[in-house]
Amino acid sequence: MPRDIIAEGLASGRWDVRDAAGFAENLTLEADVVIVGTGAGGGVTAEILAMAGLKVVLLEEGGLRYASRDFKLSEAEAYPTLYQESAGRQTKDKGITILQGRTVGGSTTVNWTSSFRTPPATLAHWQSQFGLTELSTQKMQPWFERAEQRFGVIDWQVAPNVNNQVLMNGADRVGIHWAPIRRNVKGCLNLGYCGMGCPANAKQSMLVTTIPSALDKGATLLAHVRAERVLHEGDRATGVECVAMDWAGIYPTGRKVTVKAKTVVLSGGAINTPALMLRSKLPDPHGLIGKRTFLHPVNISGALMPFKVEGWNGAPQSIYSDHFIDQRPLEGDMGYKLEVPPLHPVLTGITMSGFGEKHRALMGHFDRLQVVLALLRDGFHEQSQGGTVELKSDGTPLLDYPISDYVWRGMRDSYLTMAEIQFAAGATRVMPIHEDVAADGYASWAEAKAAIKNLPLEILRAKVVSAHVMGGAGMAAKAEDGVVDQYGRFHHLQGLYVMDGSVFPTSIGANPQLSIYGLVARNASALATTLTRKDVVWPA
Amino acid sequence: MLTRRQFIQAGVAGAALLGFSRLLYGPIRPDPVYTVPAATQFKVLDEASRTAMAAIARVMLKGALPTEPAQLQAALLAAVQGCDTAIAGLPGTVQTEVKELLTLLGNRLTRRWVVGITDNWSEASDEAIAHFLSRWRYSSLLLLRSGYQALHQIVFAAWYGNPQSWVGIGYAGPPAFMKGYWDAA
Repeated sequence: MPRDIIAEGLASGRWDVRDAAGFAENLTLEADVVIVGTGAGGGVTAEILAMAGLKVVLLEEGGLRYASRDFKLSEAEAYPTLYQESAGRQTKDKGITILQGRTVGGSTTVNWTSSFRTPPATLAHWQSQFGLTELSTQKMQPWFERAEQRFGVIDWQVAPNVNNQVLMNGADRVGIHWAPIRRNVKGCLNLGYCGMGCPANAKQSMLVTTIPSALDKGATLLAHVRAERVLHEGDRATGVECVAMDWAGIYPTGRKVTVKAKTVVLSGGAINTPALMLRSKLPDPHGLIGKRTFLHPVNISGALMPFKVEGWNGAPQSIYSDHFIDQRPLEGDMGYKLEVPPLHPVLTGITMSGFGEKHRALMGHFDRLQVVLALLRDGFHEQSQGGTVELKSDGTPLLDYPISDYVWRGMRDSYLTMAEIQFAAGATRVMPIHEDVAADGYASWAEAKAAIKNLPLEILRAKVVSAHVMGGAGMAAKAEDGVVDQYGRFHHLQGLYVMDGSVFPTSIGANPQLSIYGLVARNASALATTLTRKDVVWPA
Repeated sequence: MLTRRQFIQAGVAGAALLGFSRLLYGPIRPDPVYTVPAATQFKVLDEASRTAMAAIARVMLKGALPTEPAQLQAALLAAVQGCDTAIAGLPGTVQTEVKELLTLLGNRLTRRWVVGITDNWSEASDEAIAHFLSRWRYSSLLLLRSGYQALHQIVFAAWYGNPQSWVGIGYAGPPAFMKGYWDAA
């Protein structure tokens, strides 16, 4: 019988959890620390500061779901309730669709559990280019170890599902690196539905780890509140002003929520954190807020295999290849990491190009469909400066992310790589996901190679997606180079911290959750010491 | 949960009740008017948009939709309702953009001159609609390409989000043993 840690906590009567959707009046609270966002950054910060004995208030724009019984493995339910903009958040020109969580636990509630430490090359680049001298591989190692311990990051012992095996076998035959992906799970049932919330409490997301722990220690959680602005007086942050959202999280109800606190932590994730900073009209003498926002732009290659793949079954991501990350210098041609995504009917149906009988013919082979994706490492080259967060007329965020020729070249390279791997693994057809590729794709590697070299690469023809948002409030030692310092302290106000993926000055070059956990654990521990003059040992 | 058969029966009854068939089979002028019972109230799509979405879905989902007329109507009704739900779940600014797109599709003048569909949506041929979709899909104008992509995303999300649509794609749905797992909780 599954334990539902959220249901138990709420039933215990010890937790202070309030859903602002039902508020009949405005609410004002006071706390030592207010944290905007409950994802990877907010969750870790909340637990560490609550351990230090501080009164913490957590704000979440999405809703609180019971940890297991609310996750029904249904895309139609999951996307509107658990994701930003119904899983259809798009860049300004609509060229890139972004998957980002919006629920208690943030993206950690819906991610695919892939756990990588920040690559040493990325940390070295930050040291040399942004003066982040404290963030060496050696100094960060203990923080990654602690995060791995806290979130159950393990070597996944179960055989990869067929979707991942194709990447493994193809990489083997092409003669490039592959390795298993570590996962943050305990008692995983190998279902394959991580993206819809784990129904077995196995994924060690913030929803079942740090947030229950912070609530046990006296933290307050407010769901369905959207932070509108950071309050500040003189050179100090003084709190956060919010609006209550309706149950669907789409429209404000008209009620206001204000939390007064001497310490304000922003953990809304890249895109939302910089947007909140822009709405708050914070001092920004160098015009850096919202700039350099990164996505790991992803292009996709489908393949029909002569055997059943059933890409919905089993751990979604268990094999990766870093050949084109390791072989390519940071400042050279664009590096890309190869992984596979889980395949479910909605995500597959909207991703496959074309319509009518051709689209249906492909969906008719859904159980033999295999998909590889390439995550492009953005932010390291002068022609890859990421995007800029702006505000729409209603104050909500909009990311302008133009794709440069340099990035398109990386995508052409990765289309080629993916097709070669898929044919090497036995594919009968390979179809780069692109409007100019016929629904049944190419019949051979030779045909694919010739055709991909001539594909017109532009937005809304090539399908480009993202599941990793980073940057927009980047770290740098000097205020003219970044928004926060290497402890997440905002350069221009006292008491304001950013603790999430928006502090990364480039993309990570790997799935970012563990990078966020490690860095935020370090920075939140330092903050706890600053505020209480005591050291917190995390995890306990 | 409804079985497929029950779903189709309920859908057929619902479609008959609504006179939904008039969305598909003309000629009726002006575009069909019908009342919607509270239980199936559309949240976003007005009458003109429903007519346009039904016509577009009929072509986008060709091959996936049942061929028997009553079943086809029921499935199309479900698809259009799914589109309505999908659009209603989008944030306000995005809904506004989608509604602008639907207005452009539904307005007689823009339908004719921008979309390129001369007949009412309820009378437009599959070929004419497929031609419009292809023209937008490969247009040199970003706006039209994004309009096509929006329609593609909404229609296929609505369709494949419905368990009834999984028949014939080799997907049996989430593992059945999870039901026992939840019930044990």
